[in-house]
Amino acid sequence: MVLRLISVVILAVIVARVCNFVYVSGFHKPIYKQYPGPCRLVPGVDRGSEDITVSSEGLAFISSGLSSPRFVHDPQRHAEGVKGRILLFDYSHPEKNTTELSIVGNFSNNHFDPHGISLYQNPVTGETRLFVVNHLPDFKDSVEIFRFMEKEKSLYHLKTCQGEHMYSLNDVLAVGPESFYFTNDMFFTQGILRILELYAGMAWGGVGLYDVTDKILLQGMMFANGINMSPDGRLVYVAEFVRNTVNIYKRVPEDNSLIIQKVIYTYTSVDNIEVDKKTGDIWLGCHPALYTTIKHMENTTKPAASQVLRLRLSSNSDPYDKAELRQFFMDGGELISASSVASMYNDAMLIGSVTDRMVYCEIKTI
Amino acid sequence: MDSHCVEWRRALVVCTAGIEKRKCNRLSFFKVVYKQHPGFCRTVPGVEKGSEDVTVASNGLAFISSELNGKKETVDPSRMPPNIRGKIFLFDFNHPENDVIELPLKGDFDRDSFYPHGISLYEDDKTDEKRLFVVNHRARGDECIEIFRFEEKIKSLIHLKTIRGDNIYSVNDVVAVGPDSFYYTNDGYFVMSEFFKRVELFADVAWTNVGFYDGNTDKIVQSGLQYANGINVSPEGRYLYVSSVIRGFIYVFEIRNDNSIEEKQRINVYSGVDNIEIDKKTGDLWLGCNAVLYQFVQHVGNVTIPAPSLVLKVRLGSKSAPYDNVDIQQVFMDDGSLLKGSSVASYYDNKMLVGTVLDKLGFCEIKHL
Repeated sequence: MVLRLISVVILAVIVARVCNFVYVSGFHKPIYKQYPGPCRLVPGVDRGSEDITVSSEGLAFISSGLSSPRFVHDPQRHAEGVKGRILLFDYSHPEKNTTELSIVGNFSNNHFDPHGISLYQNPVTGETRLFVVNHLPDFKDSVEIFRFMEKEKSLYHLKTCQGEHMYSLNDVLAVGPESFYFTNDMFFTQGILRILELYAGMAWGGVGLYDVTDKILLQGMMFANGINMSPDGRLVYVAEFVRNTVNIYKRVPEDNSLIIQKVIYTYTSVDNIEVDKKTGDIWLGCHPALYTTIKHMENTTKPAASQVLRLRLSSNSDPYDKAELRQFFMDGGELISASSVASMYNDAMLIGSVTDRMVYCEIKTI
Repeated sequence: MDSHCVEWRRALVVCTAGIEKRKCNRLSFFKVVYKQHPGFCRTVPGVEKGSEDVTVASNGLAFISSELNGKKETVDPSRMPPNIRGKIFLFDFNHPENDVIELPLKGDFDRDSFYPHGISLYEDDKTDEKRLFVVNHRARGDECIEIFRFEEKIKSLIHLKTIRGDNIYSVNDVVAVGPDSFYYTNDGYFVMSEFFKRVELFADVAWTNVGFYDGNTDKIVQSGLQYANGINVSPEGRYLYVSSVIRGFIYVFEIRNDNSIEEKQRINVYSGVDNIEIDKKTGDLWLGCNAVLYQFVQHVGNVTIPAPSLVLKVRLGSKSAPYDNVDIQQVFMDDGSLLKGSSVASYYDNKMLVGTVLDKLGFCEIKHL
């Protein structure tokens, strides 16, 4: 009798988990085409543009060539031997498209597999530093810190940051010359256990802080993904990919700890978060039909749906009192598959993807 | 986390109640609504109690039917007689700042039982005469098509003819193909019984149809549709498009020489399609949709409850059906804060009017398509 009751409860939990994952996968969602203005592909970027970050002068840095088996399961891509790169795009001259930044210093390009990136511009010295999540062989992760040499169009490697709490890195957010927040998307870094963690809906992802040493600040997240900060540095935004939320945290300046303020449900799988420095608007690269993205990761020739949302927090006394979600881009994979990031500068936008192309759009609609 | 918990419970209920899954999907329980405006959008002053159908002439004059008789459905009392009085408005796309004027209805005509629904415009190329065909729900069970002539100089509609028939019993929309001939949709089989209307709607039966009136007699030319709603004709007059609200389909029929129709294709637009407008220049279909049907059902019972609005543009990829490539583009989406429950979208020269069943009329500039 007790055994039967336990069996029924376990079965109910399993059924609930399966149903929730089916729901999150987005089978029920129609995908219509929607562009905010004229859109075009950026030539030369066709093996991913997973994260984009833009400086205050309109220089956009793009990480390209993500091929870690943790995310990309297409054997064709692995056989191809995609090379990790950091590309540069100038919003002031979009017709010039991208140039590849050479990497100099004591750093081996053979193990460069870039994922999330973040820019730190020192207001005093004017130095620009690029922080890059790097997936090393054997499923080890690091954050590489580079100095951007604008004249030479190169990245000078300064430091490799590793730590026992930096085990499943996805994105990074720089808050100082050598300090940053990072997201661990899951607990297991590889293999069948990682797949089980994802499909079982376990909430073992988290956010950590690196500042001389690394520590975990937040846990209990379902696939912590993109992370970013408000222009005044007061709020930190974290995307929970599988829970379909953007979490808003208040940042405590004394010790950089984070206090949850609000959870915004987006009804889509939010990947990376970009913040418009001028307006504070939050731009989300999303996967509106997650099942198409999962298929796409197994075979990158299959199209996956792409979506860009803008999250605007009300500017009342509590800036997060009201939240408006507006859709600016949607595509079934004809133009771009599995969008992961949208970077906005003035009236233009770059949309990056995990393993696919990159799109440049002028924004005409409001 | 409130929204998440609600959605989660909803997902669980639906997953474990298999037969209801279809029903809930049909009512769009899982549809997501984000705001999306193609440019500057505003409501048009003066239209407050519905703008169910809009049709635009080749010179940019748009006709809007307003104050649909709620007695046809179970509707908020503020949308039923005597709180409404059916109207036809005129809007000039060339001068959108002038908003709308109400067109006086003249002629031997019972003004007090005029409650317009679907409309269609017939422009005679030779005489330049404009005729407006209007579905009129005089009372439950008393339905007809009114034909008016538009007098542009005096901005009036002169009533010419009232058309009734045995097969004209639950008319939703009409499309004129001649000065006295039109196709129309009957959106339900049960007319008098509210209970059976509900049963018909939710039981997923396909008993609605398309009829044709040739100037003398009316007949049914196509049966077996499910909640036939909007109807329109391709610019060259070869194809007839009929929308099915619950199924989210656009039926494509070819019109034969004897005015009968043959089904060629079903286009799934994955949304509750209401009225269809055709861009005469491109042949594109402009669809006013109920993005989330269950919220629309709530809105009909209480018009203060917001219902999302959605406008889709369908570009047909080839000259003849079956179309080998159908491109569906989302042009407008609103959560109900600007417009509640859109039913029609009429496009002219990079501008758009979005009509609603029981709410206001929206005007949008379209910056990019």
